[in-house]
Amino acid sequence: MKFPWLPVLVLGCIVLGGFAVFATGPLLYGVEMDHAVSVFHKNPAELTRMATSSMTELVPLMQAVIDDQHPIVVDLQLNDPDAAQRDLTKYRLRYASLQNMVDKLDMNDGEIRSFMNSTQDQVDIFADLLTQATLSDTLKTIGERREYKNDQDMQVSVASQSAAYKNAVLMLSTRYLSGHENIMNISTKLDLDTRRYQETRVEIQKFVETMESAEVPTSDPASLRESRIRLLIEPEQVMYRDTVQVFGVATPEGVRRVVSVRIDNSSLKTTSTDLKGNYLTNFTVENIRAGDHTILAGTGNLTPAKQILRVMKVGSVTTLTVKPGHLPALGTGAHCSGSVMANHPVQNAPVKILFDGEGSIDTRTGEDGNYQVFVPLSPGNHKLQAEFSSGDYPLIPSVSKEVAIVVPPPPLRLPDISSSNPLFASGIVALVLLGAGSAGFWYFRRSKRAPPADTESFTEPADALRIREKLEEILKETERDFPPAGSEQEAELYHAINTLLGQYERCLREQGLSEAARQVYLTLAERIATRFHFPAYRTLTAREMSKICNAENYAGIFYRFVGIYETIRYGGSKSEKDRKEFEEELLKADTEIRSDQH
Amino acid sequence: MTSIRSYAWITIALLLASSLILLFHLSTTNDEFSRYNVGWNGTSSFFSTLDRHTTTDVIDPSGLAGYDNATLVIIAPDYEMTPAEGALYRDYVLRGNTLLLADDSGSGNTLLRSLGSTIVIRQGNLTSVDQAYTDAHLIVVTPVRVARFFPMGSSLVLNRAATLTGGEPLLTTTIFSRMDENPDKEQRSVAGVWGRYTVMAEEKIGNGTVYVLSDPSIFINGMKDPGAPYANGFFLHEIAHTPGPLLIDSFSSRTGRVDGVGEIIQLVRSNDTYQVMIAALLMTGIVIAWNRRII
Repeated sequence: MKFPWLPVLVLGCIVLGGFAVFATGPLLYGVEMDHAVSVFHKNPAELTRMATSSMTELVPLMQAVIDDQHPIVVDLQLNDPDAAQRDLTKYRLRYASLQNMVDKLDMNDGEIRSFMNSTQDQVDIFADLLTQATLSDTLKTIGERREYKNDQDMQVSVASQSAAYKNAVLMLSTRYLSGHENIMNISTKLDLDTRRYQETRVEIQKFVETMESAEVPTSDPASLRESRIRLLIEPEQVMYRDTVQVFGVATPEGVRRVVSVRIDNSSLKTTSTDLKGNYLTNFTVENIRAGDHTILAGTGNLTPAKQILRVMKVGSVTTLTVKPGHLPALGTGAHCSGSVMANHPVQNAPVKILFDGEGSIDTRTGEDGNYQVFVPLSPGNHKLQAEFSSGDYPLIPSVSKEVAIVVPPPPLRLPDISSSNPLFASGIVALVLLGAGSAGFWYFRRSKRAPPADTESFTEPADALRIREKLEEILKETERDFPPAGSEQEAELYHAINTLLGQYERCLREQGLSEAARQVYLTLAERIATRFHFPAYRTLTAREMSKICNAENYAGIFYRFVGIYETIRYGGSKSEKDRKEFEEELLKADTEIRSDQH
Repeated sequence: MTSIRSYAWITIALLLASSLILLFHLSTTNDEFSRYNVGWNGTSSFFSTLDRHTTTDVIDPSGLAGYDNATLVIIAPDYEMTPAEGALYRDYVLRGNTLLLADDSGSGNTLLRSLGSTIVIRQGNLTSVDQAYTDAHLIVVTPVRVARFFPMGSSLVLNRAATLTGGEPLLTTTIFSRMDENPDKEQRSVAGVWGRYTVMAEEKIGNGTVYVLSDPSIFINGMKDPGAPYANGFFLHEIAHTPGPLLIDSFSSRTGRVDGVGEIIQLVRSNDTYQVMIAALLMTGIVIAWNRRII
């Protein structure tokens, strides 16, 4: 067969094509892969899997929710409101995850609902306790001020707020303990570990006891009968993103009043008093210019109380990182990122990216003070700079260092076939696979045929060597004395070239019996190897060669030929008897192998 | 010689294995309700339980002639029958046979009119508080009286079922069910009037009986075993082992659908002559390869 590898190649291509179809087909059909929406049915297995995996996650999440209360209470005990705020934020996220899962599983009834309600209430309690703890700190700070002893309004406000604080904490703790009992019952049923949750209860009780034992300042009872509103702020000097506590008392007590808090005649907050006349609120310094500002608190027809708030200016630092890039919609340009930082990350701050001193693009920072923007630029050298012009912020403007970049030309892109017709895409994949396979096959065959040119130890293949030797020999003969046509010498020459016996006789005369026997053996072996498509026949011994063809018609004859060949070639026999026997076996083998091949 | 033949045999074995996988793959489909679909939305599992000695595939309505005491099952039809074709089904029922139609797409209404049935399949979004798999569309239904396909007191789970009017109710939803007759495009809406809705009904026509189930999805692989409390498996078993001949409609039903190479493969599989011819061709190929010493 001329191309024995052709059927294998064709079959291989069919199989590859089949696998290309297979890759997009439905045989290996996982429910998680099923996104098809049918109007006839839903996939029950997928629904089950979703429900099961969610249920396995539910209980650990409930455990985490009750456990995560403990650090908040410890922070409150240690009088660390910042840490308590961080832990409370974490706890809220955990609770939100649990709420999402409960909604997803449609479990908004029964004990889970009760658990969720109680936990939500406890989130609110912790938030209120944190506010009260911050107020407590504020009251202490005010009590330590120099003017405190001489300022009756201050004393009245602090005394009233302290009493309100104490009362609020007591109410919150009672609410907490009620919810705690409910959550304990449900958690025990669900076999949750409640040891840490019990510790939280103990910590809350300790916190309340500490608060109850604290001394509450007193004030002149007569001043509580006056019709007026008092205002305190703490701190009085602030910087960017500091929180200002605003509180006071409106007298006489007995009615709930609406209190509006203003800054420089602009509305800031609205809050209300309790029955004792206490009000409490706060705000964070953001877009307030540096300098002195008047804070006013007013209610009804009472004369508004005022305090001065001093906002200090803080330095800022703007950074810029630039990376050349390319966006399909905008072309070449630079990915710019950086941040604006002061004593805190500057939120929602306007940032201007200036490029080459001639153009600019505006962006804003996020919650973390970072910004990110793509600036379209032509390929080539550019210089960029980020600028934060503080505007209304109590911050000193800042400019980043100038950054030089080289924008490369747009990259060459291959067409996207992922969104094309699936058949077309499969066809492309099949063609690529086929091409790669063919190239690999061609390379493999080529590398087998042509050895590397720089290999010094290269050995010429046996077939090529023998053919070349024969051709050279014939050419030499021809050049020396080519016999006339039809002469006896020409017949001898033809015999010598074209018959095996002729080759043998010629070699016998020139190189002796052993070499002649070898030459004719190799010729016969080559014929057999060609038939079996086995080019490496010279690596086999004569006996191994005879085993290869043991199923052929000439196997017996070749076996005997090999026997006498070995006697002459390897046994070194030069006897006339062996030579004659070898020639007889050679004739037989030559005839049989030739006829079998035909 | 040994090494040459080993090489050939290994190659042939690999090619054969690959071809078998390919053949198996090509013989399947992902068409919904197809008996050749081994995925969750195919009906291969139900069809594998049928007894080939008592089950006949009806590929043309004229094949219904001559049957007595037989049960014809039509699952998810998607073909609007002509009056002439409908008349053949009517004759089949009038002779005293049973016809079970499972359809929620409404295509079966043409057949029901041809049969002279009063049962009508009403499309819409049927949801229920009594649900399985935490999904309101996978509703739980219960028998209202004794019938041949399910034990009394059992319940079944249906998957996006329609509702029925007319006939004698056999299976209904619980009262905590709603039917949104004007569903949204994604079929996700939950609305309508609370009440009990019929999902399977029976009607005597001539000497025969027509059963209509408003959800063919009960036959899909994914619904075969929805869990212990539900009798879906029992229901399918009763249909597969019904007394008398069981006829499976492939004329109008989506269960017989397969396309492309799969169609050719299924044609060969269902035809003995083709199988013999292919076996002979393969044997010839092997002999030629052996003779030419390729293998």
